Amino acid sequence: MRKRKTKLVLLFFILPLLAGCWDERLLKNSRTVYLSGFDLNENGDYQITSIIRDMNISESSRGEISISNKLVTGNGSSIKEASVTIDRSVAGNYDPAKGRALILGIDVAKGDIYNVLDAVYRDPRVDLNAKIVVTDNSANEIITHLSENEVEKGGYLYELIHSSEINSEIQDITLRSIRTYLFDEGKDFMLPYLSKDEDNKVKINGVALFHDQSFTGQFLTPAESTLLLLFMETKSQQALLTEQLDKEANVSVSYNVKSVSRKLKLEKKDKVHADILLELDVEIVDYPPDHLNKQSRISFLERQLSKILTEKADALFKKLAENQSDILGLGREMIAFHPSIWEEIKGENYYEQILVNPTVKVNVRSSGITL
Amino acid sequence: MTVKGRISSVNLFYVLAQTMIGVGLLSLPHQTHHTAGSDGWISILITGFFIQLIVLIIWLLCRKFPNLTLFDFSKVIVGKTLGTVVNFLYIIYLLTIICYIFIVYTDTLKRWILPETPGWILLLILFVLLIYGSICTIKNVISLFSFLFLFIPLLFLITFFVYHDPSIDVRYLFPIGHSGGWNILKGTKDTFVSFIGYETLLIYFAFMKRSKSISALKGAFFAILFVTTFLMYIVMISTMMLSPEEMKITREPVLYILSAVEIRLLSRLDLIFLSFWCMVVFATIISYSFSASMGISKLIRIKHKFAVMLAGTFVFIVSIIFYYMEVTLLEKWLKHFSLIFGVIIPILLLFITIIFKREAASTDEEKEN
Amino acid sequence: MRLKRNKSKKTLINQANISLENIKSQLNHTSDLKEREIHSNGQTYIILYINSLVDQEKLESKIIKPLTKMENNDILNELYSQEISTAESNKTATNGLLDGYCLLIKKDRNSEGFLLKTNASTHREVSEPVVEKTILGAKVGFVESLDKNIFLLRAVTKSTDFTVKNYTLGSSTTTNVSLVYLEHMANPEIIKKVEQRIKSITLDSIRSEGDIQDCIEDHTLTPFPQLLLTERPDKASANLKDGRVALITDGSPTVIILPATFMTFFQTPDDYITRWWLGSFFRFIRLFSYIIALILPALYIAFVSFHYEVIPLELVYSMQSSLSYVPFRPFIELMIMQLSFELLREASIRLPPSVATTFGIVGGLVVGTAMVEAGIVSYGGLIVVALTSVSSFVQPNIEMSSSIRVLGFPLMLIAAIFGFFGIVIGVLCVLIHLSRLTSFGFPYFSPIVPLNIKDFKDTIIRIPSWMMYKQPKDSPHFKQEKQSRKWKLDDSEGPY
Repeated sequence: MRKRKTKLVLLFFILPLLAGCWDERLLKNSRTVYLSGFDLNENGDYQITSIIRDMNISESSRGEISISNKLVTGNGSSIKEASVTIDRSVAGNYDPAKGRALILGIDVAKGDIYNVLDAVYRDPRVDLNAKIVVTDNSANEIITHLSENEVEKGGYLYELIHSSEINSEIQDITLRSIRTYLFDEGKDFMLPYLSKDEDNKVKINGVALFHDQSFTGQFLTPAESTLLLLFMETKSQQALLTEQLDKEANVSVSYNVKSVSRKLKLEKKDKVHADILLELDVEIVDYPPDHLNKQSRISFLERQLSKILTEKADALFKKLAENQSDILGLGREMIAFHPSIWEEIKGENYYEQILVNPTVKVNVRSSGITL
Repeated sequence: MTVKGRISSVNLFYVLAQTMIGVGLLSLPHQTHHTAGSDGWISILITGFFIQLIVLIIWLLCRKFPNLTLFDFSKVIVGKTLGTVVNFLYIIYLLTIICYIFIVYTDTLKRWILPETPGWILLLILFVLLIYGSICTIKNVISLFSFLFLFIPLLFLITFFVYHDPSIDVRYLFPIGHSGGWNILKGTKDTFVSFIGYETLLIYFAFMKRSKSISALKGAFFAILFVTTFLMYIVMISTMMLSPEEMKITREPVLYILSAVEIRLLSRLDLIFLSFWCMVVFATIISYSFSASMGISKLIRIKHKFAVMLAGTFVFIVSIIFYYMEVTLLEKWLKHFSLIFGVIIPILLLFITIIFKREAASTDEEKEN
Repeated sequence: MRLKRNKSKKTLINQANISLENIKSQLNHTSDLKEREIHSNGQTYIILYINSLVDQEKLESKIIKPLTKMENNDILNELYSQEISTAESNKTATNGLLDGYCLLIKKDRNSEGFLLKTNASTHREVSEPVVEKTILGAKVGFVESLDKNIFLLRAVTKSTDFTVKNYTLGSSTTTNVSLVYLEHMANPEIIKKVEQRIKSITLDSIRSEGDIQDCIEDHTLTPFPQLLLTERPDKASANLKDGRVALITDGSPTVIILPATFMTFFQTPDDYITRWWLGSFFRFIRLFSYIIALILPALYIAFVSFHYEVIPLELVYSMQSSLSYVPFRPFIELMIMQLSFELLREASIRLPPSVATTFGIVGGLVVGTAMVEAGIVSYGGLIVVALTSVSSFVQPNIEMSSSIRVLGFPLMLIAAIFGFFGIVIGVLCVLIHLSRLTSFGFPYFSPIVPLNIKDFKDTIIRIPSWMMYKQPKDSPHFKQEKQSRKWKLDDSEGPY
């Protein structure tokens, strides 16, 4: 009797398990996406364009698998609705979880981009390390182009972004960190700006400046964004810059920034004055006139570079001020260390109240293996 | 009725740390941010200090009744009938905590990894584990805890991967004290729930080898210090990673941050964190259910085994009801309950003991026999 | 061994019980029971023995010959047999006969019965152990003889503490069992427990040491072995020196070591022969492979059917491509593969070694690849199962590695239902179970449960022997006081 009772109890526990596997999502049934783009079409609907990896098993020889990219699009008044539309059109489960990059069409970027990203953040399985880029056209076009021309290069776009990050040309920003910026009142961000050039090649053409949650329409060249990244003290492994010293003689110098130190002083006068002193330790990598064995030559170079860079930085911060894009995070700096100033100027357009006065000082530390 | 099992100061550390670090860990930064803003870690520090004081009170209370648990000495202090009522309330309180853990745990699991699995299945698993884990001797419980404690440093290690992220910003911690003293103090009310678990000391002190000496207190002291530091660390790291507005919409900041971390072999670290956290939560569940069943078996004089089954069934049914009815209700209750049972009643008991000079006279005789 | 001469009084009382007819009928008048009468010195002696158990040569030269030439009647002093004892009852006499002794009785009224050892030995020579192979360890293995095994043990454990206690088990057929330990090192409580448990064995007959194991282990409902079986005298001796107890069964080349903890099953004699960091590394590899073998299939199932977002992108594509023409769920897929590997494993044990290699290649390689190409399993599944079985072969102890198989399948099942969460639940249950196991009252999962980091030094890792001042906790009586590397202090040169 007792034995039968234990058996019944066991049955009671095992039975629900038999119904099992509620959350099973088999890998073989899933259609993994590795690139998605978001657009806004004329009727105000969202359009998602994705590349899905497709496996074709050839009938003749069992082991041979050919990989092709399948382009899918779906429309809907919300992102989720659009992805449901796609799910209907593909065999298996449309699963955006593994997407390595997201492309925002220019129309989407000019609106509130959180409207697009909200659906993404609600899914726990999404890869938060995905990169986000903005394109000068519609995302659909870029993706169509990529799927036609870069068939074998699955992670082409991802690699493109990644190498730019290493060269300190764009801010290292992922799906996760962009949310931090979106919700930060004292910080803005910039996204890689993707465009097709004359040779029909997709490349990163600088960075797009954002204010609050939308694209300002203005973008920076790679050189400008490198300088800005130096001001942010978030230089990557390499930061290579080239300056023309003498236009007529066509003398230019290329240098790699080794280390950065920034001094920031905030002062409240009629406006908030931000004096930024940037000290760069550089390594000369390309300088044909040579003679770097002389101290005078080096200090001349240092002076020249400091001057040029300070001018450039002035122009850069003017550009930022025009677009009220606080990429440096001066607002956050004030919240953290000068709350009293922040209390006075806080608001949507606080950046109008800030006057940035950048100074750059260059120190040549080495010049490679030749003098 | 005196207890037999003997635990050392180190064991007490394990037990207490395991009981206290539990289900609140994941959402703690979100909760402290709610009232104390970026100064949540100060709230934690203050709460930690406050709890040290309470633990001192509990120790002062327990040392008057060596080898007696709360369920025994409450009858000595306030009389048989009232003592039984106190015991009953404490058992209900402990069971409510388990229900709360069950519900939060199921909810978190459902949202993060098992969205389609029905909630009652997860609760059933927890129920089975509770029963399997609690039918044992105190020696088993303690040795298991000392092992499961290893997972807490592992949790700690996992968070190191976060520093790789370039968007980490120390400025989110500043300005220190910006939220104002009052808000920080109000924040302690929210953080207090994360610290519950120290009440079990009322029971575990009885098992101490030399509960009268100060060394018994040492284990508890270090456990609370450890828990405070650990929670403070978690809150600080979450505050640094997420901007203040973002924190408001993120329910489990720790998991959210970790889900973005990618190491070579695995893309989602939150899964690992969640699984280690599972181990830690189970330890908490076992600790509570063990002490609750001890109370039940003393209250209605049944074997420990049946007391565990009774407690488990009660918890299972109640948590299913609450899970499908109103998830947040228990949390609201618990905020008040923890103050009553964790602070007010121990202090009252201590006062009564001192004023009316209650002693464990009856039990000493028993010992001599 | 001249025994019991001073107990003649007792012999007098008992001798009435010795009756030849009685003994014969007890042995059912079996045909190989021989009886011989010898007249010597005016006395008639009767020798009773079982023909098949007795060494004829020995009987001839050591008993019959001296007996016929005997000048006085003092048997104990005249006979050359190794072992003489008085038979106190019919029961002892019969048992002696069954052990290969011969019974010598004077044919008169006050006759005494003597048991003289003349047993034939057909035991094989000592050879290298087959299962527990080592690289550098001793090439000696236990054999099927109890005496020889004790000899082998004593030869590597020279100590006055070496203690042997004999027990005869079984009521219808008997088996001799010896309990061996070092007096001042073994925990007296454990010895007491072992003795008590052995004495309580009331089995009809002992088929092998497995029967003893069944009767004396703490927990029967567990996949984890709580007694260490070994066929190596050096391993047994090392365990004796650690304060453990050995149980030797007659007729079996494996010795039971107890109490065994979880970690004992991961130690080999090689660990202590090679240098300490190498030994620690190998031990770590073994532990690691145990964990791998246990959870890798379950992890595979969880990742492939629940959380493939965890797998890096490049791997996802390659796994997906081979998975896409497998019609089964990952769980079924792995089950098919695991079962076929089990078949291969079981088959290769029965095969002669020369065929087994070929068989392994055909079975493992050809079938494996064909299965993948036929679309029954995927490459990922094949790799996982192959790795799992390789890892389970790494285990030095067969019983421990079979616990992987017992636990692996439920773990796979629960992973197929709940994914990663299921694995955590499963592992937690195993941990809770492990934390409650004991081996003769000693915590089985020590030093991990209860956590004792100091004891890690000779369990999970192996520190140099001179650093082991104190033995692990299972032998509380042992202390190594002196520093063995004192010379280093005298020897060392200063930097200048």
